[in-house]
Amino acid sequence: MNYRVKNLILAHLSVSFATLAAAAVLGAWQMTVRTGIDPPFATPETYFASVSAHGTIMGYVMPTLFTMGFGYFVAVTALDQPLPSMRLAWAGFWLAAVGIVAAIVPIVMGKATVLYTFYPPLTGSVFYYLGVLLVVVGSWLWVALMIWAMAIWKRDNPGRPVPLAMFGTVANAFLWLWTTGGVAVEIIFQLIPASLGWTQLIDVGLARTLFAWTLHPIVYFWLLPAYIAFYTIAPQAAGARLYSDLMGRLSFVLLLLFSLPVGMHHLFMDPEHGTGFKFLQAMLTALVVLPTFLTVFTISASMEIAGRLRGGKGLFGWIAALPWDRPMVLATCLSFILLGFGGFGGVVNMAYAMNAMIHNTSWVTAHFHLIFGGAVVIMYFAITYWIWPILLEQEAADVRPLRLQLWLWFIGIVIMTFPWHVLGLLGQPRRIATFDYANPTIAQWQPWVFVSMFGGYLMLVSALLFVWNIATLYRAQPDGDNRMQYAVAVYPPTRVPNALNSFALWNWLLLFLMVVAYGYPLGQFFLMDVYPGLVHRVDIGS
Amino acid sequence: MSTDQDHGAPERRAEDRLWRFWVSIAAGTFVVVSLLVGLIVLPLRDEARFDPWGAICRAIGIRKDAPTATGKTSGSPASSVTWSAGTRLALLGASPASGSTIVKETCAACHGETGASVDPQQFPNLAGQTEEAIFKQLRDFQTGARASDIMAPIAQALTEAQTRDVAAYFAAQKRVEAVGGSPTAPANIVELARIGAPARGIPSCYSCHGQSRSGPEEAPVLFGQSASYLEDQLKKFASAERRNDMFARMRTIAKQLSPEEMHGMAIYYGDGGAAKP
Amino acid sequence: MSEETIRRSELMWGAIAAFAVGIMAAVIVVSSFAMAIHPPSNVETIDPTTLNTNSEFAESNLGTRVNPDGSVTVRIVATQFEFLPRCIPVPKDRQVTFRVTSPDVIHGFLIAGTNANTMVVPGYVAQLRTVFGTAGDHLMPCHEFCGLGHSEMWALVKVLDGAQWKPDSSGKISCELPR
Repeated sequence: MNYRVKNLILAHLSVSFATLAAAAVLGAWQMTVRTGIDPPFATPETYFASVSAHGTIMGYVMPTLFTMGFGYFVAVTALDQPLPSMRLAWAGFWLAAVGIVAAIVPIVMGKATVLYTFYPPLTGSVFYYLGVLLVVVGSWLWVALMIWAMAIWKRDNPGRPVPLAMFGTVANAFLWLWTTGGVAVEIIFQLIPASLGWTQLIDVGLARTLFAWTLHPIVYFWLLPAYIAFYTIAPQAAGARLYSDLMGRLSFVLLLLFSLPVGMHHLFMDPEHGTGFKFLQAMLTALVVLPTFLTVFTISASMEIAGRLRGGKGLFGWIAALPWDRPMVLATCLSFILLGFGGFGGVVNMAYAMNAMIHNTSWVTAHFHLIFGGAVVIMYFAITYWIWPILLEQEAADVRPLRLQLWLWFIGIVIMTFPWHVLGLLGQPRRIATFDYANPTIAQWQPWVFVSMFGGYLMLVSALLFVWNIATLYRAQPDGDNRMQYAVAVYPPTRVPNALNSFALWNWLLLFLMVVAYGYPLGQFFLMDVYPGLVHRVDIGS
Repeated sequence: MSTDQDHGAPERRAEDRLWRFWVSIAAGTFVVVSLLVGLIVLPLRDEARFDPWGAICRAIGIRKDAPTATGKTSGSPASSVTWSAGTRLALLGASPASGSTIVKETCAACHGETGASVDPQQFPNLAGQTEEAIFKQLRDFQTGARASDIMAPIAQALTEAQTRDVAAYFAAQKRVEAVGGSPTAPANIVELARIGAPARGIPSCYSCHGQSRSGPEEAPVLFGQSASYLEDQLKKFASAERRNDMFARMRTIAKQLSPEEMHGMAIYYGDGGAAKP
Repeated sequence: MSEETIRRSELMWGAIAAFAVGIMAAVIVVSSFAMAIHPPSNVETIDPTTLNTNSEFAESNLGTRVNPDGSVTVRIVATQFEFLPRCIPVPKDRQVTFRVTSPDVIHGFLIAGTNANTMVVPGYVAQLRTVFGTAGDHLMPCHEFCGLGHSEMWALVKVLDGAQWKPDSSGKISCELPR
């Protein structure tokens, strides 16, 4: 691995996976509490602190560190040039690392039991918010480095299309910059002053709206590394070429556009907004189907080429001919299946009229665990298996444990989330520690909760197996060249329109969409007579 | 990011213009149509007459009609104390020093000079009690929301500022050594205190009276009070003889407790099992 | 396979994707229009910090009430860690208006097994209308984390049919939770 970035990338991925394993343990324990078994240490204090830690790690720490590490990998390998500044990259890592500690310690101490969505007026320790903010600021340095790296490459390679993997990574960098705007404003101007006792009142509606601005696109930030792998690694792993490079560019741009002006579909059931802008954002949310469909088509077509090259015949014969023993091919297929299930659940979430049935029930938890925990994280695993030999310069001695781990994860998430969908339809709220299953109106929930817990433990086993795999399996000598090779398009583009080689047009369009979608919903809090709530600190008892 | 490498080429610029044009048309049309439907068409559906401006106002949440009729009300609020920014700021500005003078003159005879009660069974220990709890109870004694022949005239003699100073003084004192929370207490009592009773909708005592203070502002610290005082108050809440708890929080909970539970709970918080009946 | 074939297959697929989006949007618009379904969006403000002295949400005014015009309104305060009142009788087959607000933190309102769902945000009165088609009991849990007692915060909605629905002379009706 060239350009001395190996340690930088390994540092990011190691922290990411260490926290993933810890959060997986917490998740399994939480599910045990919900069954009514009463595992050790179960009190409201420990349960909600655990939910806060699980959400903070899985939402802010694990994917951010993974995406940063993978981004550095792409920037160096796809562009074949050093990072613009190693010092800045390490500064970003250490800011995030300090932030993680600062955020987790107060949670463990019970001083930040506000869950990862930290809806005020509930307000935790200032160190928690500072910690989350530091992780975000660290990732902003990554954003700057990605944009900078692409600018340098374009300067040195005038007129040539930016490699697709890097184009996707920079799309994600811009996406993240836009995404974090809402929560950063909320933390800096509302939560930190409140948690320090400087302000006694907090505008709850404004805080919720700012958080919704972040809460939806953050999922796309987690998702994009998976999409980058679909387009630029999976076809290569299958032994073929990418069907179309332009479709990839278009999908990345559309994901950037339609992840952002849509967050108010999280607020459909909120009393502080009228129906008008809820409807507009529902419509914009529907558009995200476009890049998803384009991706499914392009990648399936690429895979079909691979299958046919390997001798697959007939309408579906190419599927059987694919090299399923390769973790990346297997994971891509499993990820698509989970994406399909999760997408269906998501359509119900965003449907303006159907949302009332499932808002804040287990359905929602099921949806984002399927999409993120399932479709996305399984690709994080596969990406890691793919780039590990390049980073360590050693091959996996055995790929069977890798496949076993992916299958366990897939089966686990299906067993865990399918019952949650049912429970959501039955009206089981999320974020509750204990249920009274003796109550006849909810007695039928308990068997489903037990089944889902079983899935949760499968995922825990899988997460630990993953850590074991990457820690111990890569011991074999590489056979030949192990430089990173990205999938090449069937017809590699020699030039692409500027619009699909840069982001100026899309950032302007996004600005327009954000002003239209959020201008009034945010502005109304300064126009109408709102009554803020009293800050409710949970960290001041003794 | 807009730096174009070969922006000299006219066909490139023409291509860029074309992208800008069609992207603007597509996005603009989509937004305008969605806004028309969301702001006018859908809200108009619910109205008897054609009033597009009224529809837009309702769609963005501007109300022209008065709020729904409030209905007749009777009775006074459980407590007239409100947890507003003003209340909190005033409490933050209270002076323990001036509180100390008042305490010596008016409170010390029963509650002790440092808040360690001379007879905890009758008069609660106030040392280290939260400022909010003492302030609220004093105000409720003043207004009669909490009835007491002894406390009413004493509280009424204080100005609002003086009640805050007294509260600040007691809150600053060292808490009476807590002996409660014994692990040898009966399992059902410990469970009620730590976990609550989901079947009856009773939250754990700790969720409001515990360390995190994640619950209501006025929830007092319970450890360090005498068991008989606590049991007495629980019974009064259960029978609604005492009703100054905002939104009937303690009345709702106490009503669900059995006499044995109230007794066990009082011992758990009060004497930690040391004083058996 | 020529570049032109690829381009054409992509265009066709793009059209299919656009069509799918169109269908989804149409379903949303038509269902909202035809059934007049709107999410609860009653932007009505109220001061949460003085809620305990607000006359509409005074303790004695909470619960189920038949208005003079025959409509039914239920007023509820969601607070740490209870709904007041905790037992809520409602009539079957009649429109019921719920008005819910919070004096402290964010709570959630969900009548399990129905479409009645809203956030309860301090500073706003959440209002929703619904009709219960069958008699029986529904759990009404708080569905947003509101503090350590969140799991135990629930109420019971009792849908009463004609024979059981007996409001008093002032139009009020209440029920008690089974012990």
